[in-house]
Amino acid sequence: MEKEKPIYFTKKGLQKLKQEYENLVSSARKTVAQKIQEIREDGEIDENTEFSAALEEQGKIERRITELKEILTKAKVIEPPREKSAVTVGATVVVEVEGERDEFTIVGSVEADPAKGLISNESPVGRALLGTGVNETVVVSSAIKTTYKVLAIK
Amino acid sequence: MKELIDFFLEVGKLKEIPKKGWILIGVKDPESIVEHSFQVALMAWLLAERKKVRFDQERLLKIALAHDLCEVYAGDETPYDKILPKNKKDWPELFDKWPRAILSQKRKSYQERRRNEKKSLEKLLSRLSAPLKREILELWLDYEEGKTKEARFVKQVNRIQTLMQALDYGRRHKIRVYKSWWIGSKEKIDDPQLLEAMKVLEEKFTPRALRKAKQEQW
Repeated sequence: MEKEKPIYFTKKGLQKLKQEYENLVSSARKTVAQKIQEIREDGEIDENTEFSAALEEQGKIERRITELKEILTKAKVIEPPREKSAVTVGATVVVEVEGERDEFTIVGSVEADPAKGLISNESPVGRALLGTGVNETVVVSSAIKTTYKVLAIK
Repeated sequence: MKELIDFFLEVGKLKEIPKKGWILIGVKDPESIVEHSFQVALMAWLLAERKKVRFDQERLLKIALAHDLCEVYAGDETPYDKILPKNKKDWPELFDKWPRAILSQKRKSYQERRRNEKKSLEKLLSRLSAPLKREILELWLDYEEGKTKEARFVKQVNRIQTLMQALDYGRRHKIRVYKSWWIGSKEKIDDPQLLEAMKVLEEKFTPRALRKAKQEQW
């Protein structure tokens, strides 16, 4: 069962999302509604591809507004950690794993992008690293066990 | 119509392009990009059905179908491409580890790959009508940026499908299952459905489970 949990955001990331929400609600929604109205007033809406496209666009906008609203109700800004004694959401962690160095920033699930080094706080590795201090190790178990040693917290 | 047919024929080339990772690890007759995309689409659709949150299924499927279109010209990439040792005997040791890098290197690689793939996709879409071009590009950008929940889910399903395929090759063709499949997945997956799927894969593909399955065959 999926429980309600906060979704962590960087300040910049949350601002971007709020901006998108505002643009959709105050501008995009009205623009497409106006377009639909104009086409209706022109008549001939049956088999009118422009009308279908506008309806589709409206649906897309409304779905995105709903999605953003849901995310924003659960959004929590990552506060910069006062101390860097343990890994928290928002921290950049330098680790040693399998004899090599790696670097991740722990973020919320919406902003996570492992290819860019942004690991979700809800991924097995993200969860394991939270609360770990420098020179401490954590083991992430699956079919194999992988040990991560925290070398630095930025 | 002519432009659409030309587009379909170009996309059809993906049937002949194998997923590169399988070639590197020695799979004979590996799955093509089309086969991979089909399975990702199917998995995304059915796994999303199990979630409490309602997904836009049409968007989900379109993203799954569009996510690797760029590979018609960009080809398939693996994270090992730029670090492969000349001696193939050293490859297994490399493949057992998940590639590591500092943040700035990761971002640089990401931007380079993204640039190449976008260029490739734009070339593929160039003959299509403006609305279609816009739509497919928007779906692909969503997949890359993870803007919507559908895109983020397909991206993670993509990873689970690849893990599952690696395990299946291990079972059917006795191809070594490298540790990196698991390690990378534990860093990339956070969706509860897909974490559950990963757990089932762990149980199903332990050496003990595989032995039992083989015995039951007889």
